[in-house]
Amino acid sequence: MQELIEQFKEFFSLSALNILVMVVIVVAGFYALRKLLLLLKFSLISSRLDNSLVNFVLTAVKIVVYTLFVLHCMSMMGIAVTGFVSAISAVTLAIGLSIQNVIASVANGLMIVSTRPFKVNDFVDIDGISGTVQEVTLMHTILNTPDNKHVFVPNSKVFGSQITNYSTNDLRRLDVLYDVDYESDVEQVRKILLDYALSHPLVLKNPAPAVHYAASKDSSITFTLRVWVKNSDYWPVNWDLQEENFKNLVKGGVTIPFPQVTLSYRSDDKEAGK
Amino acid sequence: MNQAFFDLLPEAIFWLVLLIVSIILVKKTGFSKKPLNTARNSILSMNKKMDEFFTPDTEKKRFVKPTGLKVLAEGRKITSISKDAKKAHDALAVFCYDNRLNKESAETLKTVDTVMDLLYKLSKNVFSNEKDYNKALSSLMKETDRAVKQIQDIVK
Repeated sequence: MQELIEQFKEFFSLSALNILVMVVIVVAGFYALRKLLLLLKFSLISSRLDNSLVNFVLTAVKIVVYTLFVLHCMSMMGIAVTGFVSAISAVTLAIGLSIQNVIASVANGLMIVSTRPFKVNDFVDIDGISGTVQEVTLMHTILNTPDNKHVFVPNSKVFGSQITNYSTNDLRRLDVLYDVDYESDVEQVRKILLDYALSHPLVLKNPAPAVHYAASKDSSITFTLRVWVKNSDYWPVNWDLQEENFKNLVKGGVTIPFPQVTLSYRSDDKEAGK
Repeated sequence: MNQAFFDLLPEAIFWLVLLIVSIILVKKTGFSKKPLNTARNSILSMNKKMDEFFTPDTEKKRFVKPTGLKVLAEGRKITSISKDAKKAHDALAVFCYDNRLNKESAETLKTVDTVMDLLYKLSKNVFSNEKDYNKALSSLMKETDRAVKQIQDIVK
């Protein structure tokens, strides 16, 4: 009996020592990983990466690092981890297949954040939807349309679509078309359009405004007035040029035509008509 | 002592060493658990140095674009201020990341960004005439004062 007690004592003293070392490994490992992840967070933030990207990288690294550490600790304690690894792989595969659209959106979100075709506050057109970029999340790009609607465009659609960014360049060219009668004096029309463009305070003098004879249509001659404006002045100048130049053309005696069709009758048609 | 203990010992030592190294590294980066305090201290230090380096007495001097050795002296001053600005920027960036809805901190971060940009231009001596140099310096003073006011408004 005494021998048995001694054996028990020896066993527990040895096991206690092992457990103590294991606790040291788990605690030290956990805190060391936490500090290293903190360092990673600081370095990612100070490298001026986008917050959504920082968030994604940190979360992904955290999950991988802690999972590996837990598996390592389990294997150290003598627990068979092969089954766990297989189970995790199967679950990951199942989740991956069922939410592949979500994953595609997240991946596209990361691509948008890293390639930066636009940034917050840029005015863009994505697949026919125009608006100011409010935020780029991992799943959606949020646009605020000019009529104040909040549109959530999935990142998978954003990345696969043609994107027009109106805010990249400071200046924009504004083309305004005018249709006038064939009887009009070309030089007079040119002068009226150009004079108003040059007198407009928001139209830039350099590059200079220009008027071009654009097309001879069925019922009218088309002139194009091309002016350069700042991005923010595009629409106000557009409305002004449309309205004021219409008034100026009418005042100058230039006729604005409407579609006309000239019909000619043959003599036998006339007789048949009788 | 059993064999398992000796097998585990090197690993325990490894994790302990890693913990110590990571603690030292985190401390070395200068980040604290209170990034706003770090930012405030750095901005105030930056402002103090600015006042010391560009006092009203030397106003005439600072309006002259430095050349030769003066560039070196000015460069050292600017490097010293830049270090504080970088520290303030990083601390504010961490705070902004943790408190994404705090607009005031985002504004302060923008101001510090402008300060850093001006300091960079001054350190690289990119200004071709005294007028631009002068303008950049006065903007730097104004932006630093603004950063001080903004950070004090947040911390109080």
